Amino acid sequence: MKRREFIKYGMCGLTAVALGTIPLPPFFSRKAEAANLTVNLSMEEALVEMIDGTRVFFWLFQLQGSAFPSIPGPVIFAFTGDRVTINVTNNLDEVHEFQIIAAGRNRRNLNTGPIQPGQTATLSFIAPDGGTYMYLDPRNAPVNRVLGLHGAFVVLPAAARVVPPPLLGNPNPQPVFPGPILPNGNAITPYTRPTAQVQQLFNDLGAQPFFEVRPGEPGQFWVPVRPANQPIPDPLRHALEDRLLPANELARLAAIEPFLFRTRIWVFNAVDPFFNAIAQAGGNAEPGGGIDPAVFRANFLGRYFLTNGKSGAFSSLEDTAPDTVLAAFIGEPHVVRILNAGPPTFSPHLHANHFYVLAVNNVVLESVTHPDTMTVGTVEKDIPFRRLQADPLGPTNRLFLNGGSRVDWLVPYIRPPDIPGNRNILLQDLIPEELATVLQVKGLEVAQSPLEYPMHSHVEIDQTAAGGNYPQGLITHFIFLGELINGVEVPFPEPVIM
Amino acid sequence: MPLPLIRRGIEPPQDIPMFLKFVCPPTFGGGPLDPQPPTREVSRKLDTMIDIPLPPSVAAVTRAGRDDIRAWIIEDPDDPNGRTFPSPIIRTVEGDIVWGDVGFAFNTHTIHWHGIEPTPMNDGVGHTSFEATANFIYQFATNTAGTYFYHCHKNTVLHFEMGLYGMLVVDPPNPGTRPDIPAAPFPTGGPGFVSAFLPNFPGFVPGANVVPYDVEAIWVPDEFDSICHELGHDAFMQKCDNNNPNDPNNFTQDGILNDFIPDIFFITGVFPRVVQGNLNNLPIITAVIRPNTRTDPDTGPPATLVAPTVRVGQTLLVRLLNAGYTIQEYRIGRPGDALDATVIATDGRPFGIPGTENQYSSPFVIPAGTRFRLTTARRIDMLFRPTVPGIFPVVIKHIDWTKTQNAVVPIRELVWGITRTIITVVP
Ligand SMILES: [Cu+2]
Ligand SMILES: [Cu+2]
Repeated sequence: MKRREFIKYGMCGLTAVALGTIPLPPFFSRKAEAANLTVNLSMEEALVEMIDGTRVFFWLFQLQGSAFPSIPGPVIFAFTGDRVTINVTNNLDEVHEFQIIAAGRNRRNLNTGPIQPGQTATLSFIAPDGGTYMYLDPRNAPVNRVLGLHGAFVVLPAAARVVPPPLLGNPNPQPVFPGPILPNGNAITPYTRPTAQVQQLFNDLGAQPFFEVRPGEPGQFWVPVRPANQPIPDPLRHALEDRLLPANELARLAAIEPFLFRTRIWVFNAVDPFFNAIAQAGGNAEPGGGIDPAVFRANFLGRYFLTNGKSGAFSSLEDTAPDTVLAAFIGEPHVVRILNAGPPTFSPHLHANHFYVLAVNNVVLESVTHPDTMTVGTVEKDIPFRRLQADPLGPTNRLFLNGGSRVDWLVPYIRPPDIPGNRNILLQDLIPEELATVLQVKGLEVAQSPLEYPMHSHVEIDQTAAGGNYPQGLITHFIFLGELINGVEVPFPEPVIM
Repeated sequence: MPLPLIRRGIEPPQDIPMFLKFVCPPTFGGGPLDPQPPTREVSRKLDTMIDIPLPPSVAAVTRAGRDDIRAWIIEDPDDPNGRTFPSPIIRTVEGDIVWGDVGFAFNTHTIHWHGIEPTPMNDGVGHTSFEATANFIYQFATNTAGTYFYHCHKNTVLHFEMGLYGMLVVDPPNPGTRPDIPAAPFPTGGPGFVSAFLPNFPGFVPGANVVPYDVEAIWVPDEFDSICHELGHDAFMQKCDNNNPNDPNNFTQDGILNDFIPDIFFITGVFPRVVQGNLNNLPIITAVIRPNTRTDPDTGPPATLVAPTVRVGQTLLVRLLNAGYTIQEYRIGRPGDALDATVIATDGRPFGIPGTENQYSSPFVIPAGTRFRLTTARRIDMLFRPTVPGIFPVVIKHIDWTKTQNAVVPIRELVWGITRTIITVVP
């Protein structure tokens, strides 16, 4: 069986389950002007299956109209300047709150204040500068957040405003996309106010020899959404065309897909089911509720480690985590937005490419370093911006050294630079033996093509599940499907597997 | 009404072979694949077991209560003194094509050359390629000078903790501006050249974008959980059931590897004695490592690699790697000391080299006495140009990655241990 055909294989078992994928962005801007956008969220109870099958109780956000709550909460997209209204209904048994960190004026938090059970609160604001924001329940921190009440709020700069490409079953709208280069000659970045270095990096992606696929074959510029003339990338295309997912999941993927083009959002978390069980039994972190936030912080022992709600193999394979796995061609740079909702500090390490650290907690960095491993800290340890400005190291260096709870990377997607041999030669011609290698796994055959690498947190404790089971923790995969040849995506040859 | 249930993924996964590969990596031997003529060859063997003698004060505070600690190391089989912890340093030269001939004493392992970026089969990650049973020749280039390391990537949570790692330094070619410095690769401890874009730094070589250094120190602060070191090779590994790879039974090896409680603290294989602390009185504070601190001659590097001595007017290069599972907080010198650190590179990528993919960053100064942090596997390279003689303290806190001190003081971080060394500056 050829690997690309796997999706035809085994279609049973797809009953009405929510898959923990990043769900529907609730709105699009359909005009070139700022839009009015409304999001209706509720807070709900749910059981979430961990990688070993254990069912753990969570408090989760649910998008109105969606069949299931989602872990993490739905990604909310906006463009800078949009007028955003978020209505949050508390369907849980105790008081909760809703906050977006540093999304207000002067990086102030936006907060609804307490929401009584059964009540709805509203947050109305103008979408801030482009960047990666976290929404969460800040109450009794970190308990309510870690027990599931968190999600990503992504703001794209107004310059990137588009009408999205055709949605499923909607054949004819004319998508409008400004292209990767703005009228002023600069490339689009994720930011409203990029630093000179970040701007230069994005300008250089499609222009400089060190980002070339091979000499004479330029790499591409970054684009924040899928341009109209681009096909839907694998494996989302399979999921959409083959209707392999439940209808509501398909709709979510179809709607979010334009925004996930050349972008990944990784929401990290950790789970100590001891505390979830108290909540399931009716407890909470209010005074006398059975979960003392101080006890929680002193005793939290992570047992499962999640990326977008999944672990290990389930967060690493193209078919089980299409919105998490990086799978693209050499020459196609990607932005990765990392958010950490958990109590641990992680140290994510990318194999095969060093990445660029663009921003930490939406502070766009003035020195764009190029590491292979970077600290992603916790909300509790985020350093207030005003204190950073007075830091003897300066904001850029302090954030590079310490990290923050939100870190943006640029993954250049260059040919892994330490593959020996002539760089003028197509990679498929340089390593034919490896690409043709097929190894036995318990009687089944697995090809080495395409080229696959891990991204994992290097604390390694976080690579476990239930205290063992390496590598079933905080991990996903970084896949090179092929390389650009004359600007066309050419997959690596695949050996024929009998 | 039953609660909504969110499943862990598609059941069954569509791509059974890939799923199975993730749970039960294939094995392989031989290599190199797609060979290119090597310019450098190294040999390594996994995993040799050594017992590192511990100072009695260390043994007294370990949970396992042994007077030595079992470590697993990656041996250099060509070197009669190649059974050290950390494993013997590998030095290559920028532009080298390296063949790493790796043998295995028993069971399956891999070597991942952390920060080096070759093809997956040379990257040493089992579930994205294979685990090696017999000899395998890894092939990779070392195209950017800087600080790397190598380690086993099987059951890494245990195998990295057990000591299966060593430093990998890629040196720039010698530009020939200092007759006293030999050809690259440079001797460990110095002198040598290092990539750095510091046009005003003494000895900076334009074009080559390197500066000379006289003394090299290697700081690899780490810590052991002595209970982990009692465990067997495949402790709590996932099972692999080929009939149903996502059977929950494959992921139910209830273990203790998430409960990391370090009780032995050291820097680059130098185990200092404990001067304060026990299990009920955290943190454990170790004695200051000095140039004459005794190390085990059979298994450990000399303490001078950790506690360097440098003359006024000379340049000291420190390569720093967090090889522990803690957040490490460093303080070099005291506020106001004439010992500022100039950070020139991270993770094998020098800052600010014009006309390269590294041109978007700049070297920066950490003023003496300023605390800073790194998490696991991160590296930075720092230069010092001391101007006054003295003994300058280096203090490293090993901080829990999740937990706070206790329920009474929930804000304060949980510091498991404190290690210390010194930089000695002589006239
Ligand atoms: Cu790794
Ligand atoms: Cu590593």
